[in-house]
Amino acid sequence: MNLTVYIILPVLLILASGGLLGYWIFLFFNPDRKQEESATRFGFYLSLLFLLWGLGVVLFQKQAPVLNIGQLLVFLGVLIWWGQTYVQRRVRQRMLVILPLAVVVVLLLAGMINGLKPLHIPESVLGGAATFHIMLSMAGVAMLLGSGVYGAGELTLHRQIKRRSFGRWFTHLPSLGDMDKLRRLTLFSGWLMIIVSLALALGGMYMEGGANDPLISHLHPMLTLAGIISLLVAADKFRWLAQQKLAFSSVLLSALVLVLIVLSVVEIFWRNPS
Amino acid sequence: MRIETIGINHKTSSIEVRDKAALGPDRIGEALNHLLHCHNNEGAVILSTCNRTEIYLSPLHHGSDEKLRALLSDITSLSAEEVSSAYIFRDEEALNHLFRVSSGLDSQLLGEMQILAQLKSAYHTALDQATTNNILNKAFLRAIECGKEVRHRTAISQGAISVASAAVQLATKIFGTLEGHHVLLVGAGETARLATKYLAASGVKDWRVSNRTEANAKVVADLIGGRVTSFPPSEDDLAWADVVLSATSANEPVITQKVVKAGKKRRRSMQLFLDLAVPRDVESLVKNIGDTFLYTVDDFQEMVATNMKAREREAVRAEKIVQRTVEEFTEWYQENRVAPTIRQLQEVLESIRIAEVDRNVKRFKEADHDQVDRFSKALMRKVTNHFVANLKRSSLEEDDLSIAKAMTLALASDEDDQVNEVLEQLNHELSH
Repeated sequence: MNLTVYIILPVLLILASGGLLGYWIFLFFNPDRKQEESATRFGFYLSLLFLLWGLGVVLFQKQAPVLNIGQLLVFLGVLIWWGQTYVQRRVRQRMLVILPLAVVVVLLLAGMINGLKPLHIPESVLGGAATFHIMLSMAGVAMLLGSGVYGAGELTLHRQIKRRSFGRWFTHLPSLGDMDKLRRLTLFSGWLMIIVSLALALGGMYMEGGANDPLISHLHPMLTLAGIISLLVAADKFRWLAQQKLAFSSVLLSALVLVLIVLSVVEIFWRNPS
Repeated sequence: MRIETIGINHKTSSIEVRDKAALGPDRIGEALNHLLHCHNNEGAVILSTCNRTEIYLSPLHHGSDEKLRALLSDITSLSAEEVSSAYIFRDEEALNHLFRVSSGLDSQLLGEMQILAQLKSAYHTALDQATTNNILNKAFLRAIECGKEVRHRTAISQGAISVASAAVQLATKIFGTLEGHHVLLVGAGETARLATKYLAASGVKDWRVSNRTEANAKVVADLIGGRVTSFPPSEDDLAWADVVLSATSANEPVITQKVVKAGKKRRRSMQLFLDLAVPRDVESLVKNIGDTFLYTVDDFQEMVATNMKAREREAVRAEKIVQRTVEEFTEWYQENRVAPTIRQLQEVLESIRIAEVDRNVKRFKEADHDQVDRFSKALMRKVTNHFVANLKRSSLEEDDLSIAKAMTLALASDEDDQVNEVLEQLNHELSH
């Protein structure tokens, strides 16, 4: 079981995701609607395989897959792929699959390299509330990264239209309107998840009547992040900025999220391994 | 293969000749029956559109080119000189042509979709008139499948190839669906009206019409269910509109950067200006305003040219699908030639099997009767498959029907009436 959950299934996931990525890249150069449907179906099966891995880990270690950096990276990849699969069923986004799928493959590889089997489990990640906080934060991060992808798509298409360039990107990307809707949806959902997750963490600390240093230092970047996201969500909600600028902000935000999340994870797992 | 076609299209004939050759639905039935009765034809289908008139025939023997031209002349009232430019294809070439037509590869606008529906309609008319035979049925069904496959597997039908449809393609690329979006129409001439048709078909329902002559604006507004507004359009109109379609004959721009900027202050979402007028109606500086797109006729022509090039690239892939379909059809046809012999073989062996089982079944226990039946069927299937494989191979690989003929004769019984029919068919195929 140890081998299946931490080695065999993850390797299968990497192979399947890599294969699917290659297939989509092939379809980028050789458009074929029938094969696109097959690739979409295969992507759905891949998300089921991810689910199987998630269930396997939970059953085996009696904890969600958030016990070390490797698990966190793979879990983030799983969330990104589930979000992508959900959107793919609602909007035909075709070639926009390539970008999140590449991210998923990188996350899976990084997760495997870091190792999935937890050796030293920090106390701060144990317990139901902590697990829920981490999972919700990761889901929020996945959403925010998604909003960055759609923002980048919007900027690319905007540029293509302005430049009168009617090549592959113009043909294959979804419309600006659709990408804007998806960007806003992922941004608002990500914001909500991060806020609820932080509120839970702060509430927990308050109930405990104090906090230890590592948690507080971990919370600093998360609170900064929450503040920035809230500002951007307000700008989007009340249309303070033009659409192109909002898309650009989403891209910047997702880059910032990546940096802050790395800082947070480093804080928890490397500086305070136990 | 017993299939041939003669026709004229946009490449061979002028529009006047094509108009003259076009057969309305009221005349096609009569023409089909004429084709079936006055020539050695087993089947006929007529495809008549604004760009082509073609006759597909399945003759007992291929006729001469002159006879085919005379036939086309008979049913279309074209002169001998006019039909002299008609193209004639036989067998694989005819199939290749039919599949290229259904795929839009032979169309004036490469990859257009309409031809597939027209081909289906032509085939159904022939079916209703009972003028098709086995070969034409199979050929047209494969043509329809081939047309669908080409459109599914290649991007040959993607990308607008007219200015008006390119404008709509751009609008949908920006807004997604056009339903619920506001369109301001500036001008009420022919170009503006044509473009509204495309936009209305894409779901636009909220219109404002601005025109120098208010009466004309009202006519267009009534037509599309919009309301008339001032000319030139006001700041309020520009703040309201998501898409501004302008096609007036004014010599000076009617929409200035100043007015657009003023309108823009009251809206945050994207705005598209489609300037279909020559000279231009919208000041070119408008394109510098954030979240605003300005496209002119020149831009759309560039877009159409790019789309055409992309379609031409896809046509190479489409040709491969057509070629593969022709090969599959030819294979089916070669195998199909020995189908009557195979049927005869199966019938003879089945009758022997039933007789032998009935005669011997009493020797076995009642509980084993089912097993005897299953065993005898399996045995006969093995024997049949062995013969069928050899028959098909001789027909397909060696184009040889002599084995089929010999087998038909060997299987015939004295009172077998069908054998003459089968032999006649085989002789007929051998004569080809």
